[in-house]
Amino acid sequence: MGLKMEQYGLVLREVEGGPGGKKTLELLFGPQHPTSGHIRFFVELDGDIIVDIRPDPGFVHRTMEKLGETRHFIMNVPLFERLSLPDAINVTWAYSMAVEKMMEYDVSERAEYLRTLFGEMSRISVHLYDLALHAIMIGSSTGFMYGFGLRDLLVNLWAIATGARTTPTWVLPGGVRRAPPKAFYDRLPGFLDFLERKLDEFYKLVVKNPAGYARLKDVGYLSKEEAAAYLATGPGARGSGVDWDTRRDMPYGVYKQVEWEVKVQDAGDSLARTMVRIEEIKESAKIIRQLLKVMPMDGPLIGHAAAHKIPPKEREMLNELVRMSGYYVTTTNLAEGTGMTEGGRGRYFFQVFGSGGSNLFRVRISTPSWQNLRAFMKATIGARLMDLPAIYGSFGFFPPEADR
Amino acid sequence: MDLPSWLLSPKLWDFLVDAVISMVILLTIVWAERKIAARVQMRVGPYHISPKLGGYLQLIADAIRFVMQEVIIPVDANAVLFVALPPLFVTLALLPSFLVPLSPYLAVLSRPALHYGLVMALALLFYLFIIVVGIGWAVNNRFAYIGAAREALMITAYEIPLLSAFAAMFLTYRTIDPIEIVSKQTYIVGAIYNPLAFIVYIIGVAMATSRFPFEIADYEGDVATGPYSDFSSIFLALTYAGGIYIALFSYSLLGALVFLGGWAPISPGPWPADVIGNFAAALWVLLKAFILMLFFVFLRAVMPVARLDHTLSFSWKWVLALALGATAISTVEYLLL
Repeated sequence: MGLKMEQYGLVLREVEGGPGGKKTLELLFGPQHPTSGHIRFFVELDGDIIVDIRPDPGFVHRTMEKLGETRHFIMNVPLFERLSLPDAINVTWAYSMAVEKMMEYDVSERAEYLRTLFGEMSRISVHLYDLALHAIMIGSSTGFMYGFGLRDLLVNLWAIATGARTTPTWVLPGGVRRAPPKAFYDRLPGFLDFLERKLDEFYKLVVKNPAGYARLKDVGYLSKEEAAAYLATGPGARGSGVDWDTRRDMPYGVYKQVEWEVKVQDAGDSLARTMVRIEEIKESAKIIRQLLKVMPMDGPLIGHAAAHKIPPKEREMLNELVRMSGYYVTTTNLAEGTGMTEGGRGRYFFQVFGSGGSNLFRVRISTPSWQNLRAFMKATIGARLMDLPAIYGSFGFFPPEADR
Repeated sequence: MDLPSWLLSPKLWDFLVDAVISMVILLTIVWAERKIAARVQMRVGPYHISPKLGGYLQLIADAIRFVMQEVIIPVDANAVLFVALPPLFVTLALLPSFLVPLSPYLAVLSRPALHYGLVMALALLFYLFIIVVGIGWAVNNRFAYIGAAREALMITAYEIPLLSAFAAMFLTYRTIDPIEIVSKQTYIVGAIYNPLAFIVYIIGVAMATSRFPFEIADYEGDVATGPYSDFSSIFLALTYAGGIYIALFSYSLLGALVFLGGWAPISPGPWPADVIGNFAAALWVLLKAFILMLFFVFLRAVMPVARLDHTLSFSWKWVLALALGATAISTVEYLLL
């Protein structure tokens, strides 16, 4: 027995436990905790109330920005996809936009439509992922299974269209890699109907459940001013009434040609952020349905400037598939480009500087989870210990994406 | 055919039936919990160990795995209590089921003690979760300590309403004798006599055995399995993975006797003459207990975890009021019936 008998028990532990002789208990919500993801929190507890919380991120830091400088710029597409695998399309889309601005590439019309369609599917995917993890964090295993089961159908559709379930590597500078087959367009509307039906069940089972509603309502309050001051993005900001969405305010893709609206909730608690997610899924389904009606079903997958580098024999099949050989002989310009997209968790921002050689001089990445971390910490102080998972899940904090 | 007298003893047969059937029920209920949750969640659940039995033997495999694990006693833990409390937990969880009769003639206790069987069983069950607090104290890490404090708060939340529910039923039946309680119920069972008390009993047992939505002391979200963190092999099987279900079985057996009519409408004859009738009565009681347990484990599939302070306020505001209402109904019945 390592300790003396006097050191057992509850009260004495609390008196001695706190840092600096404070009568608080310091809890290491460590990187191996069931609901901590890969981040450590130093939680200071006064009884049941969290009086202070300090994050200790960096357990999943993979030096993404430095790795982006060490390889050919087209090889960064599968690399930056690993930032946030549920949101793969939107991340690579932001990077591709940055490279397009740097290289002065144009994007073909069909690729814009396809990118918008897949970007909305990616948003549905990441929202389902976050809702599922949020459900398991507040203790509802059924919500977890619903979310991941629905997402499984979606990644099967991705597999039909791109050949991979979670790592499509589909968006290229200048366009997209391959055209979805007919089976994809046949199955997509049925999936959307099933998704909306099951999402209503999820809502009744997890959010409208009296226990679940009490877990989320009035928990983790973040006022509108605080959300703006702490630079929260995505549902973390829109749940507090900040009416900002990259898709509408900094337009890209073909979002201007479809009818949709930004979903904003004013309450600023966990319930509002969860409701923003659920409504954005429905809104994304609406966008996809509209896009399917106006989608050009034939045309080149990449723009003229990128196709110019492709050899003639491979240029003939540009309507179905893009061969990568032309990209590997392309060098970057001595220029700068930026790309912004609205991912599921918030806005992704890429800034690239060309070196004149085959690889980039500098890549600057800004991911939404890293910005939401400050707002998340602010919202957590003053809550109870059992609210920490509920607030964590409502922000959709994702350490691999925050640490990069 | 001259059997020795000890072989015909009702005490022995009650003990055997209770011990064997409770173990079968324990295995079945864990399997049923996983299967029910799987059915709700659009998946299969346990399957690959024994496909023809629907994965029933998965539980045997899990039990073997639990027993084969290394026994780890942390340095900071109080080693004596760390080892001694899990067996005590299981003992206190299973003992109450031996104190109540399974049929008018099958009982471990004999007559003067049997009269107080239900009360003794309740007393033992209320001691049970003090053991959990002791476990949290003995494990001596911070998560276990928070879990133990939560368990102590939960005891205050469910104990008075649950006791009030049973006391209301004693008022209705005008007796605390388990055999007489069952004899007063025919097709009109206790849950019909006093539905409020039954509701309070359901909520109280869900809190007591940490079923959803009240799985607060061992809530994975912030205290990783609470007091049972740092428990490894057989200790985990005796407490978190198995012992809780045995406690649930004991609570459900009491509920089946008091609220669901026990072995009514079967009324067997005297013991040595009517062996089959008595066994049928015992199995009927255990089946009712099993159905109650099925409801409790079904809650896992549909409920998230409630918050601690919400649970406490809910208990003290509403469940206690419901328990008082149940007592009022029982008082009226005591005066009228």
